[in-house]
Amino acid sequence: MEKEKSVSTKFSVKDAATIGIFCAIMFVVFMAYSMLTGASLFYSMIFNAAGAGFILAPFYVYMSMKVGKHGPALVYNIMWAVIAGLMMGPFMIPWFLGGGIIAELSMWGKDSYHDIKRVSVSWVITALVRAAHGMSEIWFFKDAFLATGVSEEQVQIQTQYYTDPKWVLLSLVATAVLAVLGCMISNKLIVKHFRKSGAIR
Amino acid sequence: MGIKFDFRTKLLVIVLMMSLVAVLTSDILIYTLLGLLCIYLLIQGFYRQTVKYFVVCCVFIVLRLYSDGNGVTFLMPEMFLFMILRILMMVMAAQPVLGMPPGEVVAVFKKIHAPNGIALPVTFTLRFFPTIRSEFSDVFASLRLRKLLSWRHPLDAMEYIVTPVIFRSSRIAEELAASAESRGISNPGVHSCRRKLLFRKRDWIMCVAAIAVTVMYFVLERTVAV
Repeated sequence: MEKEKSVSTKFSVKDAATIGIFCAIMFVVFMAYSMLTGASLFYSMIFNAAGAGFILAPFYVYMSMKVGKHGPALVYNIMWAVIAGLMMGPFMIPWFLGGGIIAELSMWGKDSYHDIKRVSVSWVITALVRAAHGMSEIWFFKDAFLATGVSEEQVQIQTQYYTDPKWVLLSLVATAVLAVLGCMISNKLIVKHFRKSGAIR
Repeated sequence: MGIKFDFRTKLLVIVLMMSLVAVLTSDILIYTLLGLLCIYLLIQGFYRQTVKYFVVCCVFIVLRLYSDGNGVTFLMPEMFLFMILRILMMVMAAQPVLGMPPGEVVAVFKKIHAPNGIALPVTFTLRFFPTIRSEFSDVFASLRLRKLLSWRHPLDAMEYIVTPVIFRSSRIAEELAASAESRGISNPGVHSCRRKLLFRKRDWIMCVAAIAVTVMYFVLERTVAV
């Protein structure tokens, strides 16, 4: 019994496959969504992360509940840290890594990955880290950000939106609300399809 | 066909590209670097992908030149064009790693003693990337056939898309995990690999060339900026 318990809490190959595959899906869906909505600067600045928090929630909730052990939030954010480092510059890696650690810490405790409220909290943290990454470029990493050769137009617009508390608040609140809404809908899907079929216990 | 480089060489090219993407501001340097990346992919045998990247690069370069720094209407602002070119550079540099066979990826992670918690998900991610498109297109084709895709009911449409994609992906995850397990991926002993991971003469040449190009671009960027 004791041995069975210790095996069940260990990260298995199946868990790694689930995380790897769902991270790949979330990355592709996010890129497709960003390309479609990227043409609008205003949307990209304020609502991109909010929309992503809603669209990607079913995949994240399923991945977390399917694995059911500690690790998915951290591994997902580590993958995003690497991607952000490659796409935006190495200064973004600690930002996403820190977000991943906080998201994983929010799942502290036994069986938290089967609790939709706890999974929602970690998803909201992850979504907020994504929403605030553009703000962090202006607030904390402005020199490094300017050195990446970004256009003046981008810096101007980012500074305009991300130094105005009204827009910052709108972006973060919209992200949190849509991430929670996404998790609620995901939970309905989990109950309606995946729990019934036995895919998730 | 094409020259096969060691994983470490490909990784070095990605890291060097990351450092260049982070500092290059001159348009002409960015455009010439995209040309060099096309050559880098061609010598490794990625002919079809190179043609695709080349066409996309040309389209966005022409749009940037045409827009003269003002963007193309509100649909394609300057920032969007700039970001696409930057992302393209990173994607092109990463293409040889994305196309690596899973067995080689596992062997590389074993060789560099990467923790399993990170190495295994990354291996499965790289293995699954090429098939994602077909997974989604199959689901969309099936939904179109049943006339279930509609903008009038977005939440229903989301459910119809997400549910089969998750079911299919979950099944693939189980199959891949079973396949990997049966080949002894979680065996704690020493793993052997059919592919020999050797840092050959060609890797040294590529690394030296990549470092030389990076230094040259750094110098040219400073000269242009001054």
